[in-house]
Amino acid sequence: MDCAKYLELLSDYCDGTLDDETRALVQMHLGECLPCDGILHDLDTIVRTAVILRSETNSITYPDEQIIWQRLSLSKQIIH
Amino acid sequence: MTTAEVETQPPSDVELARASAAGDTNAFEQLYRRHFRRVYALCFRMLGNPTEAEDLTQDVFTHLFNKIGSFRGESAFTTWLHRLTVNQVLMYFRRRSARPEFTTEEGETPVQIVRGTENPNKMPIIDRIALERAITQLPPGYRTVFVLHDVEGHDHDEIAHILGVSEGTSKSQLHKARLKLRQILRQQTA
Ligand SMILES: [Zn+2]
Repeated sequence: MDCAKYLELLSDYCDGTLDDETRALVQMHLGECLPCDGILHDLDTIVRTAVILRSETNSITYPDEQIIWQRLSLSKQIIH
Repeated sequence: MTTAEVETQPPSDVELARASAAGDTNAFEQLYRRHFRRVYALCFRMLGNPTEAEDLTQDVFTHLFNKIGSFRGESAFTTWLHRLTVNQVLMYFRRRSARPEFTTEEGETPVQIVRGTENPNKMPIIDRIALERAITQLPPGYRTVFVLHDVEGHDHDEIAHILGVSEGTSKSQLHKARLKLRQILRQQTA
Protein backbone atom coordinates (compact mmCIF):
# COMPACT_ATOMS: atom_id res chain seq x y z
CA MET A 1 0.00 0.00 0.00
CA ASP A 2 1.12 3.54 -0.62
CA CYS A 3 0.63 6.64 1.50
CA ALA A 4 -2.70 7.57 -0.12
CA LYS A 5 -4.16 4.25 1.03
CA TYR A 6 -2.83 4.70 4.54
CA LEU A 7 -4.08 8.26 4.64
CA GLU A 8 -7.64 6.97 4.15
CA LEU A 9 -7.26 4.80 7.25
CA LEU A 10 -5.87 7.39 9.63
CA SER A 11 -9.20 8.56 11.06
CA ASP A 12 -10.21 4.98 11.80
CA TYR A 13 -6.78 4.42 13.32
CA CYS A 14 -7.27 7.51 15.44
CA ASP A 15 -10.70 6.33 16.58
CA GLY A 16 -9.52 2.78 17.24
CA THR A 17 -12.02 1.28 14.81
CA LEU A 18 -9.63 -0.75 12.62
CA ASP A 19 -9.36 -4.51 12.84
CA ASP A 20 -6.16 -5.82 14.43
CA GLU A 21 -4.46 -6.78 11.20
CA THR A 22 -5.06 -3.45 9.44
CA ARG A 23 -4.13 -1.62 12.59
CA ALA A 24 -0.79 -3.43 12.69
CA LEU A 25 -0.14 -2.60 9.03
CA VAL A 26 -0.86 1.08 9.62
CA GLN A 27 1.30 1.09 12.72
CA MET A 28 4.19 -0.38 10.76
CA HIS A 29 3.81 2.21 8.03
CA LEU A 30 3.69 5.05 10.54
CA GLY A 31 6.96 3.83 11.99
CA GLU A 32 8.71 4.33 8.69
CA CYS A 33 6.82 7.25 7.12
CA LEU A 34 7.31 10.68 8.64
CA PRO A 35 4.60 12.50 6.61
CA CYS A 36 1.87 10.00 7.50
CA ASP A 37 2.98 9.97 11.12
CA GLY A 38 2.82 13.78 11.13
CA ILE A 39 -0.71 13.75 9.73
CA LEU A 40 -1.85 11.22 12.31
CA HIS A 41 -0.40 13.40 15.05
CA ASP A 42 -2.30 16.43 13.69
CA LEU A 43 -5.60 14.54 13.36
CA ASP A 44 -5.17 13.25 16.87
CA THR A 45 -4.57 16.77 18.16
CA ILE A 46 -7.69 18.01 16.35
CA VAL A 47 -9.80 15.20 17.78
CA ARG A 48 -8.54 15.76 21.32
CA THR A 49 -9.14 19.50 21.10
CA ALA A 50 -12.66 18.94 19.71
CA VAL A 51 -13.55 16.82 22.74
CA ILE A 52 -12.56 19.73 24.97
CA LEU A 53 -14.87 22.05 23.03
CA ARG A 54 -17.86 19.94 24.07
CA SER A 55 -17.70 21.21 27.64
CA GLU A 56 -15.79 24.40 26.89
CA THR A 57 -18.33 27.07 26.15
CA ASN A 58 -15.94 29.99 26.50
CA SER A 59 -14.23 29.54 23.16
CA ILE A 60 -16.99 31.28 21.24
CA THR A 61 -18.49 34.73 21.54
CA TYR A 62 -22.08 34.72 22.74
CA PRO A 63 -24.78 37.18 21.82
CA ASP A 64 -26.60 38.98 24.61
CA GLU A 65 -28.74 36.36 26.35
CA GLN A 66 -31.16 39.04 27.57
CA ILE A 67 -31.83 40.42 24.09
CA ILE A 68 -32.63 36.99 22.70
CA TRP A 69 -34.87 36.29 25.69
CA GLN A 70 -36.76 39.52 24.99
CA ARG A 71 -37.14 38.70 21.31
CA LEU A 72 -38.36 35.26 22.28
CA SER A 73 -40.90 36.63 24.72
CA LEU A 74 -42.19 39.22 22.27
CA SER A 75 -42.52 36.89 19.33
CA LYS A 76 -44.21 34.07 21.19
CA GLN A 77 -45.81 35.85 24.13
CA ILE A 78 -43.90 33.67 26.52
CA ILE A 79 -44.15 36.43 29.05
CA HIS A 80 -47.84 37.12 29.48
CA MET B 1 -25.41 19.36 54.77
CA THR B 2 -28.26 20.74 56.86
CA THR B 3 -31.90 20.52 55.91
CA ALA B 4 -31.99 24.25 55.26
CA GLU B 5 -29.19 23.91 52.72
CA VAL B 6 -30.93 21.09 50.94
CA GLU B 7 -34.09 23.15 50.71
CA THR B 8 -32.29 26.08 49.09
CA GLN B 9 -30.84 23.94 46.30
CA PRO B 10 -31.86 25.27 42.90
CA PRO B 11 -34.68 23.35 41.22
CA SER B 12 -33.65 20.55 38.86
CA ASP B 13 -34.20 20.75 35.10
CA VAL B 14 -36.99 18.21 35.42
CA GLU B 15 -38.75 20.30 38.06
CA LEU B 16 -38.39 23.42 35.94
CA ALA B 17 -39.62 21.59 32.85
CA ARG B 18 -42.73 20.41 34.72
CA ALA B 19 -43.41 23.87 36.05
CA SER B 20 -42.92 25.33 32.56
CA ALA B 21 -45.34 22.83 31.10
CA ALA B 22 -47.86 23.98 33.68
CA GLY B 23 -47.48 27.53 32.42
CA ASP B 24 -44.85 28.89 34.83
CA THR B 25 -42.92 31.33 32.64
CA ASN B 26 -40.41 32.10 35.38
CA ALA B 27 -39.46 28.45 35.44
CA PHE B 28 -39.07 28.52 31.69
CA GLU B 29 -36.86 31.59 31.92
CA GLN B 30 -34.63 29.76 34.39
CA LEU B 31 -34.33 26.85 31.97
CA TYR B 32 -33.52 29.29 29.20
CA ARG B 33 -30.74 30.95 31.21
CA ARG B 34 -29.32 27.63 32.29
CA HIS B 35 -29.14 26.17 28.76
CA PHE B 36 -28.77 29.20 26.54
CA ARG B 37 -25.02 28.81 26.05
CA ARG B 38 -25.12 25.11 25.24
CA VAL B 39 -27.88 25.62 22.70
CA TYR B 40 -26.25 28.64 21.11
CA ALA B 41 -22.84 26.91 20.97
CA LEU B 42 -24.33 23.89 19.21
CA CYS B 43 -26.24 26.06 16.72
CA PHE B 44 -23.20 28.20 16.08
CA ARG B 45 -20.92 25.24 15.52
CA MET B 46 -23.35 23.49 13.21
CA LEU B 47 -24.21 26.63 11.25
CA GLY B 48 -20.87 28.40 11.31
CA ASN B 49 -22.58 31.77 11.35
CA PRO B 50 -23.50 33.93 14.39
CA THR B 51 -26.58 35.62 12.89
CA GLU B 52 -28.17 32.34 11.84
CA ALA B 53 -27.16 30.79 15.16
CA GLU B 54 -29.01 33.56 17.03
CA ASP B 55 -32.16 33.01 14.97
CA LEU B 56 -31.95 29.28 15.43
CA THR B 57 -31.41 29.59 19.17
CA GLN B 58 -34.59 31.62 19.30
CA ASP B 59 -36.39 28.96 17.26
CA VAL B 60 -35.10 26.20 19.52
CA PHE B 61 -36.41 27.85 22.67
CA THR B 62 -39.73 28.71 21.04
CA HIS B 63 -40.05 25.08 20.03
CA LEU B 64 -38.96 24.01 23.49
CA PHE B 65 -41.64 26.19 25.06
CA ASN B 66 -44.32 24.58 22.90
CA LYS B 67 -43.00 21.05 23.37
CA ILE B 68 -41.97 21.06 26.98
CA GLY B 69 -45.08 19.17 28.02
CA SER B 70 -43.85 16.18 26.04
CA PHE B 71 -40.66 15.89 28.09
CA ARG B 72 -41.17 12.76 30.14
CA GLY B 73 -37.98 12.81 32.13
CA GLU B 74 -36.85 9.45 30.77
CA SER B 75 -33.60 10.84 29.41
CA ALA B 76 -31.64 13.69 30.93
CA PHE B 77 -33.12 17.04 30.06
CA THR B 78 -29.82 18.11 28.46
CA THR B 79 -29.88 15.06 26.16
CA TRP B 80 -33.47 15.76 25.19
CA LEU B 81 -32.73 19.44 24.52
CA HIS B 82 -29.64 18.48 22.55
CA ARG B 83 -31.75 16.26 20.26
CA LEU B 84 -34.34 18.95 19.87
CA THR B 85 -31.62 21.46 18.94
CA VAL B 86 -29.98 19.18 16.38
CA ASN B 87 -33.38 18.50 14.83
CA GLN B 88 -34.16 22.21 14.60
CA VAL B 89 -30.82 22.87 12.89
CA LEU B 90 -31.41 20.07 10.40
CA MET B 91 -34.93 21.32 9.69
CA TYR B 92 -33.48 24.74 9.13
CA PHE B 93 -30.95 23.31 6.64
CA ARG B 94 -33.82 21.75 4.74
CA ARG B 95 -35.93 24.90 4.84
CA ARG B 96 -33.23 27.05 3.36
CA SER B 97 -32.54 24.14 0.99
CA ALA B 98 -28.92 24.19 1.87
CA ARG B 99 -29.02 20.78 3.35
CA PRO B 100 -25.46 19.55 3.76
CA GLU B 101 -24.52 17.91 0.52
CA PHE B 102 -23.32 14.39 1.04
CA THR B 103 -22.59 13.51 -2.55
CA THR B 104 -19.38 13.72 -4.51
CA GLU B 105 -19.22 17.51 -4.60
CA GLU B 106 -16.93 17.65 -1.63
CA GLY B 107 -15.87 14.12 -2.24
CA GLU B 108 -12.25 14.60 -3.02
CA THR B 109 -9.82 14.07 -0.25
CA PRO B 110 -8.63 17.60 0.39
CA VAL B 111 -5.06 16.72 1.14
CA GLN B 112 -2.81 15.00 -1.30
CA ILE B 113 0.38 13.80 0.18
CA VAL B 114 3.39 13.09 -1.85
CA ARG B 115 6.20 11.56 0.06
CA GLY B 116 8.79 14.18 0.81
CA THR B 117 6.70 17.25 0.01
CA GLU B 118 4.50 17.11 3.08
CA ASN B 119 5.77 19.38 5.81
CA PRO B 120 6.72 16.91 8.50
CA ASN B 121 6.47 19.50 11.25
CA LYS B 122 3.72 18.45 13.58
CA MET B 123 1.16 20.95 14.69
CA PRO B 124 1.71 22.08 18.23
CA ILE B 125 -1.23 22.25 20.64
CA ILE B 126 -4.22 23.76 18.84
CA ASP B 127 -5.73 26.85 20.31
CA ARG B 128 -9.43 26.21 21.01
CA ILE B 129 -10.48 29.48 19.47
CA ALA B 130 -8.47 28.70 16.34
CA LEU B 131 -10.25 25.36 16.06
CA GLU B 132 -13.65 27.04 16.51
CA ARG B 133 -12.79 29.45 13.73
CA ALA B 134 -11.58 26.65 11.46
CA ILE B 135 -14.83 24.72 12.03
CA THR B 136 -16.82 27.69 10.71
CA GLN B 137 -14.78 27.52 7.50
CA LEU B 138 -15.69 23.89 6.75
CA PRO B 139 -18.22 23.10 4.03
CA PRO B 140 -21.61 22.46 5.75
CA GLY B 141 -21.63 18.71 5.14
CA TYR B 142 -18.22 18.24 6.73
CA ARG B 143 -19.04 20.61 9.54
CA THR B 144 -22.24 18.84 10.56
CA VAL B 145 -20.58 15.44 10.83
CA PHE B 146 -17.48 16.79 12.57
CA VAL B 147 -19.53 18.69 15.17
CA LEU B 148 -21.82 15.73 15.84
CA HIS B 149 -19.02 13.17 16.08
CA ASP B 150 -15.92 14.88 17.40
CA VAL B 151 -17.43 17.71 19.42
CA GLU B 152 -20.74 16.23 20.57
CA GLY B 153 -19.61 12.63 20.82
CA HIS B 154 -22.24 10.86 18.69
CA ASP B 155 -21.15 7.65 16.99
CA HIS B 156 -21.50 7.02 13.26
CA ASP B 157 -24.54 4.84 13.75
CA GLU B 158 -26.38 7.71 15.47
CA ILE B 159 -25.19 10.28 12.95
CA ALA B 160 -26.30 8.11 10.05
CA HIS B 161 -29.71 7.92 11.69
CA ILE B 162 -29.90 11.64 12.47
CA LEU B 163 -28.81 12.75 8.99
CA GLY B 164 -30.41 9.98 6.98
CA VAL B 165 -27.13 8.88 5.38
CA SER B 166 -25.16 5.65 5.52
CA GLU B 167 -22.58 5.00 8.21
CA GLY B 168 -19.93 4.83 5.49
CA THR B 169 -20.85 8.32 4.33
CA SER B 170 -20.68 9.62 7.88
CA LYS B 171 -17.24 8.06 8.32
CA SER B 172 -15.81 9.39 5.10
CA GLN B 173 -17.24 12.88 5.69
CA LEU B 174 -15.65 12.91 9.12
CA HIS B 175 -12.26 11.90 7.77
CA LYS B 176 -12.41 14.57 5.08
CA ALA B 177 -13.54 17.14 7.64
CA ARG B 178 -10.55 16.40 9.87
CA LEU B 179 -8.12 16.62 6.97
CA LYS B 180 -9.70 19.86 5.83
CA LEU B 181 -9.45 21.29 9.35
CA ARG B 182 -5.82 20.34 9.46
CA GLN B 183 -5.27 22.13 6.17
CA ILE B 184 -7.06 25.27 7.42
CA LEU B 185 -5.18 25.25 10.73
CA ARG B 186 -1.83 24.80 9.03
CA GLN B 187 -2.56 27.68 6.68
CA GLN B 188 -3.48 29.86 9.64
CA THR B 189 -0.24 29.15 11.41
CA ALA B 190 1.98 29.14 8.30
ZN1 LIG C 1 3.02 7.39 4.36
